[in-house]
Amino acid sequence: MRELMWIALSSFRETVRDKILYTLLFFVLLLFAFSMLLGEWSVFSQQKVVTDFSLGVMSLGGLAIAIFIGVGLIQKEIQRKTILTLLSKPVHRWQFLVGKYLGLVMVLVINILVMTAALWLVLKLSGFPFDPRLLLAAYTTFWEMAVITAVALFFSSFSTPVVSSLLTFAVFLASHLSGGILQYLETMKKAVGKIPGATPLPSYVEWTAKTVRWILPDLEIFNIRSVVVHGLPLPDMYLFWATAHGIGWTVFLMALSSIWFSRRDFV
Amino acid sequence: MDLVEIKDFRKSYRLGIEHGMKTVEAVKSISLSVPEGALYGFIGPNGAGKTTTIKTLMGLLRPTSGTVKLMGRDPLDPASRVQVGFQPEQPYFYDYLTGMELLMFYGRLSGLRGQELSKRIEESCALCKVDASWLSRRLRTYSKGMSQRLGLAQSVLHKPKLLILDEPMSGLDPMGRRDVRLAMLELHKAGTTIFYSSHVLSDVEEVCTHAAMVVRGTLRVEGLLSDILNDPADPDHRQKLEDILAREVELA
Ligand SMILES: Nc1ncnc2c1ncn2[C@@H]1O[C@H](COP(=O)(O)OP(=O)(O)OP(=O)(O)O)[C@@H](O)[C@H]1O
Ligand SMILES: [Mg+2]
Repeated sequence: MRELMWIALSSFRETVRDKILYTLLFFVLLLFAFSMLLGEWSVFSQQKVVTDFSLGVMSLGGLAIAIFIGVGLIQKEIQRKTILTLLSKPVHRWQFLVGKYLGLVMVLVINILVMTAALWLVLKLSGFPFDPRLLLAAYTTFWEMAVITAVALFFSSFSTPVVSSLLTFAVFLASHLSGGILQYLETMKKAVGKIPGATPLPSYVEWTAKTVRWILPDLEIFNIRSVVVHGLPLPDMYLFWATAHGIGWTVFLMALSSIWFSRRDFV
Repeated sequence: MDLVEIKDFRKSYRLGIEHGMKTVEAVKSISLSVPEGALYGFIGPNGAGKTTTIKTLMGLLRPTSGTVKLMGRDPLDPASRVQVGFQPEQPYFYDYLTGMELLMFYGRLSGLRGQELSKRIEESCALCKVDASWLSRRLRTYSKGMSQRLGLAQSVLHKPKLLILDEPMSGLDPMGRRDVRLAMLELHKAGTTIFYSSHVLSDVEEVCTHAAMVVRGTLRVEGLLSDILNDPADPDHRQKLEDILAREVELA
């Protein structure tokens, strides 16, 4: 277990020394500032626009980190052959993989804290109170990042960086879209017959969306933006299930990556 | 007990889809064993299969067939590597770390802590002629020779019983070679078993107790160096490794 910790710490150090992290954070903060302008132009409540937009940027920032850093984490070790010396120490391959992942997760936690602080600042500058429920949204965003990073690591354990990035992006998109489509379908079903012109969508749309929802992690579960922004109540146990979903998928993906990783050759 | 046992080892690499998933037979047949206390030279022309064999010993590659044992265990079992030090063919390190950070990291992974770790870093650096002033520098500023020495230093941190080195002299200037040779001899005298690959035949002839010669993936000669160098035709004459290698390449 100590080995795992040392690898995690070194992966943390690696990421913290990576310039790309600061570039990404800089863009996220820039977009936060942009949200203030957006709020002023918007016809909707400025507070709602600022929070909604910023929370969305947080989730996209997580995607960017997963793709730009998560995919490279393992690939760099393989391409630069540093993995040869590391695996010559008495460590299991899964310890290497999980340690690398945990190091990046530590960075994600710090990122979320920085972004939440920035959001607080933006709200304060715009003269709005900081709704404590924003912390809940930050919390679920953390789990979304953790899962996306695990997805990126999983793909990068057997494919090239470019392919892994594309696949990770595809998972992110498909997962969010299928969630949105299913919600839309629900609304449409209710509307059929009540609102003139509302026709049901072909059944294969629903079927596809449901399949995607079933085989991919459900990233929409981590999206409680609208609930928080509009001050709606969260269902009982929602955070518990979201956390369980995050942990479940992370463990599953890391296990799968570890199995694959333990079989491959390092040339 | 033999610290390394290789029997009928064969390894093919699978080329990628772009090469039609063809396979390359890198090692056809190698059997050898490294007894405790040996200073074992592993020689053969470029592409003979030395690195492939060494990587398999370290559990980085899986043998296509045959058995490979490290410290009496399957190399895929991390426990086999607890008492083993390894330096890969080219020293590849994290260029964003300083020399000290790198040695601390590897030392910890090898189970060293606190005072003992600092002491072992000092001793290993002295042995491998790593200047203390380099240690505060990031590895990206290291020259090839400096990295090579640091690579040797990281491999001996935990006082391994068995040291496996893939061309430890490559990329070193004549002084560097001498330093590494002296370090190896000192370790060997202190009881470390060493298995190393090299193209410097004169070195092997001079210092080794055992040797193995591989040509095109096949083991040609193996055993006590004195036996290998013995000329069966003339008991008073010692053959040169260079001539033996030339002959074996011819025959292969
Ligand atoms: N990743 C790989 N994919 C395909 N073939 C490989 C790969 N690595 C090595 N080979 C082939 O395997 C054979 C043995 O290579 P290996 O690196 O083991 O030789 P070597 O004895 O270490 O040579 P050198 O003295 O040049 O270091 C060579 O023919 C080489 O082309
Ligand atoms: Mg080689």
